[in-house]
Amino acid sequence: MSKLLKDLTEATFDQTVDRKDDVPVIIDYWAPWCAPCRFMTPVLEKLAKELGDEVIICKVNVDEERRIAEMAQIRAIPTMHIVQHGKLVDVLVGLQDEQALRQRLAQLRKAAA
Amino acid sequence: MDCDPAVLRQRALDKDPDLIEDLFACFQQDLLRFMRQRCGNVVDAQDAVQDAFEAGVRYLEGYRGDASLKNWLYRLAASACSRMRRGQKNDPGLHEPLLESGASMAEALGQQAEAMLAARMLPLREVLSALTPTDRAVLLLRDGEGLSTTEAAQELGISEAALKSRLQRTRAMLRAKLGE
Repeated sequence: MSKLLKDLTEATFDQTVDRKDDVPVIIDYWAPWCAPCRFMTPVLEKLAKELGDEVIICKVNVDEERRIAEMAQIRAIPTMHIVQHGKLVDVLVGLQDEQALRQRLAQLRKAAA
Repeated sequence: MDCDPAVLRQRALDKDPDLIEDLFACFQQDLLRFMRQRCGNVVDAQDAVQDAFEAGVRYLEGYRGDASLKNWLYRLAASACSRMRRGQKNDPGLHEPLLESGASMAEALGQQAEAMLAARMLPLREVLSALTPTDRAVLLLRDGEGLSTTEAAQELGISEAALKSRLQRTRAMLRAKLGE
Protein backbone atom coordinates (compact mmCIF):
# COMPACT_ATOMS: atom_id res chain seq x y z
CA MET A 1 0.00 0.00 0.00
CA SER A 2 1.23 3.42 -0.87
CA LYS A 3 2.46 5.69 1.90
CA LEU A 4 0.36 8.45 0.34
CA LEU A 5 -2.76 6.67 1.56
CA LYS A 6 -2.99 5.95 5.26
CA ASP A 7 -4.34 2.56 6.31
CA LEU A 8 -6.86 2.99 9.11
CA THR A 9 -7.39 0.53 11.95
CA GLU A 10 -9.69 0.63 14.96
CA ALA A 11 -6.84 2.17 16.92
CA THR A 12 -6.29 5.04 14.47
CA PHE A 13 -9.73 5.61 12.97
CA ASP A 14 -11.19 8.22 15.32
CA GLN A 15 -8.03 10.27 15.77
CA THR A 16 -7.48 10.45 12.00
CA VAL A 17 -11.02 11.12 10.89
CA ASP A 18 -12.43 13.32 13.65
CA ARG A 19 -10.65 16.57 12.71
CA LYS A 20 -11.72 20.04 13.79
CA ASP A 21 -9.96 21.89 10.94
CA ASP A 22 -11.19 22.40 7.36
CA VAL A 23 -9.21 19.56 5.81
CA PRO A 24 -11.55 17.01 4.22
CA VAL A 25 -10.86 13.34 4.91
CA ILE A 26 -11.65 10.68 2.33
CA ILE A 27 -12.10 7.16 3.70
CA ASP A 28 -11.93 4.54 0.97
CA TYR A 29 -13.46 1.21 2.06
CA TRP A 30 -11.94 -1.52 -0.07
CA ALA A 31 -10.84 -5.16 -0.26
CA PRO A 32 -7.97 -6.79 -2.16
CA TRP A 33 -10.35 -9.03 -4.17
CA CYS A 34 -12.43 -6.07 -5.38
CA ALA A 35 -11.31 -5.07 -8.89
CA PRO A 36 -13.05 -1.67 -8.98
CA CYS A 37 -11.39 -0.88 -5.64
CA ARG A 38 -7.99 -1.49 -7.21
CA PHE A 39 -8.84 0.93 -10.03
CA MET A 40 -9.51 3.64 -7.46
CA THR A 41 -6.12 3.35 -5.75
CA PRO A 42 -4.02 5.16 -8.41
CA VAL A 43 -6.66 7.87 -8.67
CA LEU A 44 -6.57 8.45 -4.92
CA GLU A 45 -2.77 8.36 -4.87
CA LYS A 46 -2.68 10.97 -7.60
CA LEU A 47 -5.05 13.24 -5.69
CA ALA A 48 -3.12 12.75 -2.46
CA LYS A 49 0.13 13.66 -4.21
CA GLU A 50 -1.34 16.70 -5.95
CA LEU A 51 -3.29 18.11 -3.04
CA GLY A 52 -0.76 17.39 -0.30
CA ASP A 53 -1.94 18.75 3.06
CA GLU A 54 -5.23 19.97 1.59
CA VAL A 55 -6.77 16.54 1.90
CA ILE A 56 -6.27 13.38 3.92
CA ILE A 57 -6.96 10.17 2.06
CA CYS A 58 -7.24 6.94 4.04
CA LYS A 59 -8.13 3.37 3.29
CA VAL A 60 -9.98 0.74 5.30
CA ASN A 61 -9.50 -2.86 4.26
CA VAL A 62 -12.95 -4.25 5.06
CA ASP A 63 -11.61 -7.81 5.32
CA GLU A 64 -9.08 -6.87 7.97
CA GLU A 65 -11.16 -4.20 9.74
CA ARG A 66 -14.52 -5.90 9.86
CA ARG A 67 -15.75 -4.07 12.91
CA ILE A 68 -15.10 -0.68 11.33
CA ALA A 69 -16.94 -1.81 8.19
CA GLU A 70 -19.86 -3.07 10.26
CA MET A 71 -20.11 0.05 12.37
CA ALA A 72 -19.81 2.28 9.30
CA GLN A 73 -22.59 0.20 7.68
CA ILE A 74 -20.59 -0.49 4.52
CA ARG A 75 -22.86 -2.55 2.26
CA ALA A 76 -20.87 -2.43 -0.97
CA ILE A 77 -17.31 -1.71 -2.01
CA PRO A 78 -15.78 0.50 -3.12
CA THR A 79 -17.52 3.01 -0.89
CA MET A 80 -16.00 6.33 0.08
CA HIS A 81 -16.98 8.52 2.99
CA ILE A 82 -15.94 12.16 2.78
CA VAL A 83 -15.73 13.75 6.21
CA GLN A 84 -15.14 17.36 7.15
CA HIS A 85 -15.20 18.91 10.62
CA GLY A 86 -15.97 15.44 11.98
CA LYS A 87 -19.20 15.15 9.96
CA LEU A 88 -20.05 13.06 6.94
CA VAL A 89 -20.48 15.35 3.94
CA ASP A 90 -20.77 12.76 1.16
CA VAL A 91 -21.11 9.03 0.52
CA LEU A 92 -19.84 7.75 -2.80
CA VAL A 93 -20.71 4.17 -3.71
CA GLY A 94 -19.01 2.41 -6.63
CA LEU A 95 -16.20 3.40 -8.94
CA GLN A 96 -15.73 7.18 -8.98
CA ASP A 97 -14.66 9.48 -11.75
CA GLU A 98 -11.40 11.30 -10.98
CA GLN A 99 -12.64 14.66 -12.24
CA ALA A 100 -15.88 14.45 -10.24
CA LEU A 101 -13.92 13.59 -7.10
CA ARG A 102 -11.54 16.47 -7.72
CA GLN A 103 -14.46 18.88 -8.18
CA ARG A 104 -16.15 17.66 -5.00
CA LEU A 105 -12.99 18.25 -2.99
CA ALA A 106 -12.60 21.72 -4.54
CA GLN A 107 -16.19 22.55 -3.52
CA LEU A 108 -15.48 21.51 0.05
CA ARG A 109 -12.28 23.53 0.25
CA LYS A 110 -14.03 26.56 -1.25
CA ALA A 111 -16.98 26.27 1.15
CA ALA A 112 -14.60 26.06 4.10
CA ALA A 113 -12.49 29.06 2.98
CA MET B 1 -47.29 -0.45 19.73
CA ASP B 2 -45.01 2.58 19.69
CA CYS B 3 -41.97 2.19 17.42
CA ASP B 4 -40.70 5.68 18.16
CA PRO B 5 -36.89 5.40 18.70
CA ALA B 6 -36.93 7.60 21.81
CA VAL B 7 -39.69 5.53 23.42
CA LEU B 8 -37.94 2.25 22.62
CA ARG B 9 -34.63 3.58 23.93
CA GLN B 10 -36.23 4.58 27.22
CA ARG B 11 -37.88 1.16 27.54
CA ALA B 12 -34.45 -0.43 26.98
CA LEU B 13 -32.87 1.73 29.64
CA ASP B 14 -35.79 0.83 31.96
CA LYS B 15 -35.04 -2.87 31.27
CA ASP B 16 -38.56 -3.53 30.01
CA PRO B 17 -38.81 -7.36 29.69
CA ASP B 18 -41.41 -7.11 26.90
CA LEU B 19 -39.30 -4.86 24.74
CA ILE B 20 -37.61 -7.47 22.56
CA GLU B 21 -40.96 -8.71 21.20
CA ASP B 22 -41.91 -5.17 20.23
CA LEU B 23 -38.50 -4.57 18.65
CA PHE B 24 -39.10 -7.68 16.58
CA ALA B 25 -42.48 -6.37 15.45
CA CYS B 26 -41.10 -2.89 14.72
CA PHE B 27 -37.94 -3.80 12.85
CA GLN B 28 -38.15 -7.38 11.59
CA GLN B 29 -39.23 -6.47 8.05
CA ASP B 30 -36.67 -3.66 7.67
CA LEU B 31 -33.94 -5.92 9.00
CA LEU B 32 -34.89 -8.75 6.67
CA ARG B 33 -34.89 -6.45 3.65
CA PHE B 34 -31.51 -5.01 4.56
CA MET B 35 -29.97 -8.38 5.42
CA ARG B 36 -31.22 -9.97 2.21
CA GLN B 37 -28.91 -7.60 0.33
CA ARG B 38 -26.14 -7.85 2.88
CA CYS B 39 -26.13 -11.65 3.25
CA GLY B 40 -26.84 -12.35 -0.40
CA ASN B 41 -29.69 -14.81 0.11
CA VAL B 42 -32.96 -15.12 1.98
CA VAL B 43 -32.02 -18.09 4.16
CA ASP B 44 -28.87 -16.46 5.56
CA ALA B 45 -30.79 -13.21 5.99
CA GLN B 46 -33.46 -14.97 8.06
CA ASP B 47 -30.76 -16.66 10.14
CA ALA B 48 -28.97 -13.36 10.67
CA VAL B 49 -32.14 -11.60 11.78
CA GLN B 50 -33.05 -14.43 14.13
CA ASP B 51 -29.52 -14.36 15.51
CA ALA B 52 -29.72 -10.60 16.03
CA PHE B 53 -32.87 -10.92 18.13
CA GLU B 54 -31.43 -13.82 20.15
CA ALA B 55 -28.36 -11.72 20.83
CA GLY B 56 -30.65 -8.78 21.58
CA VAL B 57 -32.41 -10.77 24.32
CA ARG B 58 -29.06 -11.78 25.73
CA TYR B 59 -27.43 -8.37 25.71
CA LEU B 60 -30.30 -5.92 26.11
CA GLU B 61 -29.39 -5.43 29.76
CA GLY B 62 -26.00 -4.17 28.66
CA TYR B 63 -27.49 -1.64 26.22
CA ARG B 64 -26.24 1.80 27.25
CA GLY B 65 -28.30 3.93 24.88
CA ASP B 66 -25.25 5.01 22.84
CA ALA B 67 -26.67 3.85 19.50
CA SER B 68 -30.28 3.66 18.34
CA LEU B 69 -31.82 0.25 19.01
CA LYS B 70 -32.52 -0.17 15.31
CA ASN B 71 -28.87 0.42 14.43
CA TRP B 72 -27.84 -1.80 17.31
CA LEU B 73 -29.93 -4.65 15.86
CA TYR B 74 -28.61 -3.91 12.35
CA ARG B 75 -25.07 -4.26 13.66
CA LEU B 76 -25.87 -7.54 15.35
CA ALA B 77 -27.46 -8.93 12.19
CA ALA B 78 -24.68 -7.56 9.94
CA SER B 79 -22.13 -9.19 12.20
CA ALA B 80 -24.01 -12.50 11.86
CA CYS B 81 -23.90 -12.16 8.05
CA SER B 82 -20.16 -11.55 8.10
CA ARG B 83 -19.57 -14.61 10.25
CA MET B 84 -21.68 -16.77 7.94
CA ARG B 85 -19.62 -15.56 4.97
CA ARG B 86 -16.50 -16.68 6.80
CA GLY B 87 -18.13 -20.07 7.33
CA GLN B 88 -18.32 -19.69 11.07
CA LYS B 89 -21.21 -21.18 12.97
CA ASN B 90 -23.69 -18.54 13.91
CA ASP B 91 -23.88 -18.03 17.63
CA PRO B 92 -25.24 -15.00 19.48
CA GLY B 93 -22.37 -15.38 21.95
CA LEU B 94 -19.96 -14.28 19.22
CA HIS B 95 -21.44 -10.79 19.39
CA GLU B 96 -19.79 -9.99 22.70
CA PRO B 97 -16.63 -8.28 21.36
CA LEU B 98 -18.74 -6.20 18.95
CA LEU B 99 -20.97 -4.93 21.72
CA GLU B 100 -18.01 -3.89 23.81
CA SER B 101 -16.81 -1.50 21.13
CA GLY B 102 -19.47 1.10 22.02
CA ALA B 103 -20.00 4.28 20.05
CA SER B 104 -17.27 5.47 17.75
CA MET B 105 -16.67 7.77 14.84
CA ALA B 106 -17.23 4.86 12.45
CA GLU B 107 -20.64 4.22 13.95
CA ALA B 108 -21.58 7.90 13.74
CA LEU B 109 -20.50 7.98 10.09
CA GLY B 110 -22.50 4.82 9.41
CA GLN B 111 -25.66 6.38 10.81
CA GLN B 112 -25.11 9.60 8.84
CA ALA B 113 -24.40 7.59 5.66
CA GLU B 114 -27.56 5.53 6.07
CA ALA B 115 -29.65 8.71 6.41
CA MET B 116 -27.91 10.31 3.41
CA LEU B 117 -28.43 7.27 1.18
CA ALA B 118 -32.06 6.93 2.29
CA ALA B 119 -32.69 10.58 1.37
CA ARG B 120 -31.18 10.00 -2.07
CA MET B 121 -33.50 7.03 -2.57
CA LEU B 122 -36.65 9.07 -1.82
CA PRO B 123 -37.30 10.23 -5.42
CA LEU B 124 -36.91 6.64 -6.65
CA ARG B 125 -39.30 5.37 -3.97
CA GLU B 126 -41.87 7.99 -4.96
CA VAL B 127 -41.63 7.02 -8.63
CA LEU B 128 -41.83 3.31 -7.78
CA SER B 129 -44.89 3.82 -5.62
CA ALA B 130 -46.65 5.54 -8.54
CA LEU B 131 -46.23 2.47 -10.79
CA THR B 132 -48.98 -0.10 -11.21
CA PRO B 133 -48.39 -3.18 -9.02
CA THR B 134 -47.58 -5.30 -12.09
CA ASP B 135 -45.12 -2.79 -13.56
CA ARG B 136 -43.43 -2.44 -10.16
CA ALA B 137 -43.19 -6.23 -9.84
CA VAL B 138 -41.76 -6.54 -13.36
CA LEU B 139 -39.08 -3.97 -12.60
CA LEU B 140 -38.17 -5.39 -9.21
CA LEU B 141 -38.03 -9.00 -10.40
CA ARG B 142 -35.88 -8.19 -13.44
CA ASP B 143 -33.68 -5.32 -12.23
CA GLY B 144 -33.86 -5.89 -8.48
CA GLU B 145 -33.89 -9.64 -8.04
CA GLY B 146 -32.06 -10.39 -11.30
CA LEU B 147 -34.59 -12.92 -12.61
CA SER B 148 -34.48 -13.74 -16.33
CA THR B 149 -37.32 -12.67 -18.62
CA THR B 150 -38.65 -16.24 -18.63
CA GLU B 151 -38.47 -16.59 -14.83
CA ALA B 152 -40.09 -13.22 -14.18
CA ALA B 153 -42.85 -13.88 -16.70
CA GLN B 154 -43.61 -17.25 -15.07
CA GLU B 155 -43.59 -15.68 -11.62
CA LEU B 156 -46.12 -13.05 -12.68
CA GLY B 157 -48.20 -15.29 -14.96
CA ILE B 158 -47.80 -13.07 -18.03
CA SER B 159 -46.26 -13.68 -21.44
CA GLU B 160 -42.60 -12.91 -22.04
CA ALA B 161 -43.57 -10.40 -24.71
CA ALA B 162 -45.86 -8.59 -22.28
CA LEU B 163 -43.14 -8.57 -19.65
CA LYS B 164 -40.56 -7.13 -22.05
CA SER B 165 -42.98 -4.45 -23.18
CA ARG B 166 -43.82 -3.44 -19.58
CA LEU B 167 -40.15 -3.45 -18.59
CA GLN B 168 -39.12 -1.26 -21.51
CA ARG B 169 -41.91 1.22 -20.83
CA THR B 170 -41.22 1.33 -17.09
CA ARG B 171 -37.46 1.81 -17.51
CA ALA B 172 -38.07 4.66 -19.99
CA MET B 173 -40.49 6.30 -17.56
CA LEU B 174 -37.98 5.99 -14.70
CA ARG B 175 -35.21 7.51 -16.81
CA ALA B 176 -37.45 10.41 -17.74
CA LYS B 177 -38.66 11.10 -14.19
CA LEU B 178 -35.30 10.65 -12.49
CA GLY B 179 -33.41 12.54 -15.17
CA GLU B 180 -30.87 9.84 -15.93
